[in-house]
Amino acid sequence: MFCVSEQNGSQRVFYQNRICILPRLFSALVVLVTALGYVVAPPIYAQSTARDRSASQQPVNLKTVFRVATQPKPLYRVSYSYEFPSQRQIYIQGVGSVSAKGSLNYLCSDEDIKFFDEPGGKLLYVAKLEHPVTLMGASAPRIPDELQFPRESRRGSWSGPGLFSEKAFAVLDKYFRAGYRTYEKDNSVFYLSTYTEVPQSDESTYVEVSVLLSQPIKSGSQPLPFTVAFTARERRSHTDWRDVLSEPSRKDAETFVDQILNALQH
Amino acid sequence: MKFRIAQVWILLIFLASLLVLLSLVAFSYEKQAIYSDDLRDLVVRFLAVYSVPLGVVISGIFGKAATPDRLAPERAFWVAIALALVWNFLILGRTLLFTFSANDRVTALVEYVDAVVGASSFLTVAALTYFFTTDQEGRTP
Repeated sequence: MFCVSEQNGSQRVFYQNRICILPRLFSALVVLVTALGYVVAPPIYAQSTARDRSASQQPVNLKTVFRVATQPKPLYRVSYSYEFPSQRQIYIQGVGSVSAKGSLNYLCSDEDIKFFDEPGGKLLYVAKLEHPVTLMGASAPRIPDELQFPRESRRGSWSGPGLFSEKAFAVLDKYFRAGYRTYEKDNSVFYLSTYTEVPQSDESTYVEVSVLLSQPIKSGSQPLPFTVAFTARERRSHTDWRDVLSEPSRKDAETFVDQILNALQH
Repeated sequence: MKFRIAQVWILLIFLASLLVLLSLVAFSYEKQAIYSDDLRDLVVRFLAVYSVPLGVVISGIFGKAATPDRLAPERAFWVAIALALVWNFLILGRTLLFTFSANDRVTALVEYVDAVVGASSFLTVAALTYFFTTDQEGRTP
């Protein structure tokens, strides 16, 4: 490429030479920046890989935390897996005694999840529910207040081979697809389910049932006693839900709860 | 058209619409789409809604004795008929939708009646009052 013009003297030649160098300098700069990018990139990748590896080594892996309600108090839908290799079983505050390895998906109002080696024992790990995702437009789960449940409840006992909490979760997951809330109070662990529709004998009436399971936090002996209380509501196709049940609806609800109690004991 | 016949026509529009509404509510109850207390609430609500225009019509019929030969003011009559039909259609249409839809709510129907009919009732009342107080030549007292 010729950049020198002999017509305009030596100064002109020098000036034109400088102009022709600028694009070359720019190209060189681009090459340099690109090369630097390649040099810098590997450490970033290595850093994120290290972070992933350290996360996978933690005993609890929080998968999702959704804030599903804010009133009257925050309600989170949490999903996580956990593994405590040195333990045979652990105690999760508000959830109960579970195996040392597993995964759970439930509703809770606590800001963190505490893992102990046993009820009232040594704290193993705390998982904070930080930065929950709020689902826009999603309706809050239909879950009754604890005060809506009657004092009367059905009593059952668990003498199975595993832990009652795990049996309860399996039964609740089967019958209450919208989930359940777990909490502990007065030395008991409670599982408060969302409403689920009950198979109805009367086509024109819809019946929904929610159950409140409770078990003692510490139980020294087998079989483990537990209670099941329920609340139900009904509506017709063109009405809102009402808590007063007709006799057929009450029978449908009781049959359904008996079925749950039976499933919990076997 | 004779004034008395015109009065009866207007009265018939409101009465027929009210009877159809009550029948639709009874039909909803009969097919167990609503409870008995919803039936009572809706009947009372519709009677309350219709009490205003029916009160104007009936007081117009009995309050001012018209001579048998008196003719109805034509323009006022047709305006009253048109507005009465529109007003009744607003309630009747929504109640028909309520009755024959698979899923609706009594509360939604009541909210609709309160909002829409309450806002539009002055039209009917104004038209009826104008009709019943206008003489054959279109003069109002």
